[in-house]
Amino acid sequence: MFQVNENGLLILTDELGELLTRVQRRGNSEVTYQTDAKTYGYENPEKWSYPKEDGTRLVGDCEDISIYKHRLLVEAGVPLAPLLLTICKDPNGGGHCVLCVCTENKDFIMCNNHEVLVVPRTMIREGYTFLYRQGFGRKVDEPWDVLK
Amino acid sequence: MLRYLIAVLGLYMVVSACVGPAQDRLIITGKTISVPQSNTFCDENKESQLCSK
Repeated sequence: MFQVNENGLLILTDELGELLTRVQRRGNSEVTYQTDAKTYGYENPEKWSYPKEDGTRLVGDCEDISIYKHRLLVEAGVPLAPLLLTICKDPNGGGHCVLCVCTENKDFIMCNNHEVLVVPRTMIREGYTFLYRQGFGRKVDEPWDVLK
Repeated sequence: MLRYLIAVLGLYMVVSACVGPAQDRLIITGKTISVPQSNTFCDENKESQLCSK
């Protein structure tokens, strides 16, 4: 079982680090990136969903992959509160969704555009701008925090 | 000594301005917002652990 500290942040252990790495790889490899336009026939409004089965594979876009990783982590026993969907702008100005995992050491970002786990500064230096994050300990249909 | 400290501080500020802060955490502003797409997701996935409904 994975533990949190007094602030609700995940305590980073070897076991947790290995799980995060495994889920990052698994989510990116098991879900084939496909736009909402191709999956559902429309792009606007953005369709949030679990990845959709398409024959023998799963397809989805960035938020679908992030939601899938969230489910994998919860099923593995990670507490819900520090797992936060996060919205940013990519370097081209397009909307993008990632999963932020808040540990007592740092925030880890699980992004389908990155093969490995990254920290916020890596993405900021690449030109990403973080906008909103699911409220800590709150659900996605509750207020989100605006980021600096 | 004082000149040396000022020079180091100045260099740090210039480098920080160029490369950005060493940010290991996302920083919240204290403001909140509603994300409509998440409400739609929860309408369709009421059993999801991501949702309050």
